Amino acid sequence: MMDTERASGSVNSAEILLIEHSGMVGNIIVSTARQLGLPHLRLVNNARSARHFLAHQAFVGLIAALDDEEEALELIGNLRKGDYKSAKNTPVAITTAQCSADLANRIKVLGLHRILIKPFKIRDLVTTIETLTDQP
Amino acid sequence: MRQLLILDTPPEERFDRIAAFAADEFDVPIAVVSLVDSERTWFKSHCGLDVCEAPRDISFCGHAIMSDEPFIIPDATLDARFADNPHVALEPHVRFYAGACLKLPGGQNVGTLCLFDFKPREMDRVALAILGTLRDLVVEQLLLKTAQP
Repeated sequence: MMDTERASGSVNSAEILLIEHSGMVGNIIVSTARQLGLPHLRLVNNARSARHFLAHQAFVGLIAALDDEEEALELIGNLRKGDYKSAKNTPVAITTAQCSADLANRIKVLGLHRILIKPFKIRDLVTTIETLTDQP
Repeated sequence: MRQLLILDTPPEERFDRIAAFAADEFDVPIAVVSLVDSERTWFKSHCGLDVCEAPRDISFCGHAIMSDEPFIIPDATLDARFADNPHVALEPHVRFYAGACLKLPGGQNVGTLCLFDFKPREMDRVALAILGTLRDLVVEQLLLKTAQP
């Protein structure tokens, strides 16, 4: 994903969309990121809500839990096709309970920047946020 | 602090979950939600620790609540305030302590969310931010309890 294509939607502030099904974990991530001065995280708890936000706003990164795997992968695929306001090459990371060979094959084409296996450390998620926003 | 009506109440999952999360996140053997009473430090949640209270005069948390800032002891054996503390000099030989104050809206520091380890450690800015976030969750839960009829 080397192209620098920009999406038509403007990025009002450097927001990252975070899909996390656990409210407690999601809130810990958001609050910690805020304390560290990292880009603002928009927290949603499922891919359906994420789709709504992606349709109306451009994000500089996406961190998606694959708890609802099919829907989340479809969403990332749509992002790569340019179906949302974010750039096609928006950096994406996923969190998943396991990464089977089948899943590995499916995500290979999605140009992911990082995969975190649950249960992950909040520290690792913080590093992931920094990595996403350090993309050239 | 007594208005919280929490001293000597049974363990609660909502606090235990935060303490367990802290122990996992920081890879420490002990994580505690403590409340500092006049003569003792009482543990609302004590992940990895069998006892539920300790005398205040030998309590790390008793020191921690004296300041709003996180109270970090990287190696207690090298700290004149704690080197001869029974928890340090004797079993379980605590070496590391990190405590974040539970501050109520009125300004009182009533206790801590704290971590113990048996080996020296450091806390960087990310670790401090995570500890602060977990501390905020504990305070939120304390206040929820207070708000209930």
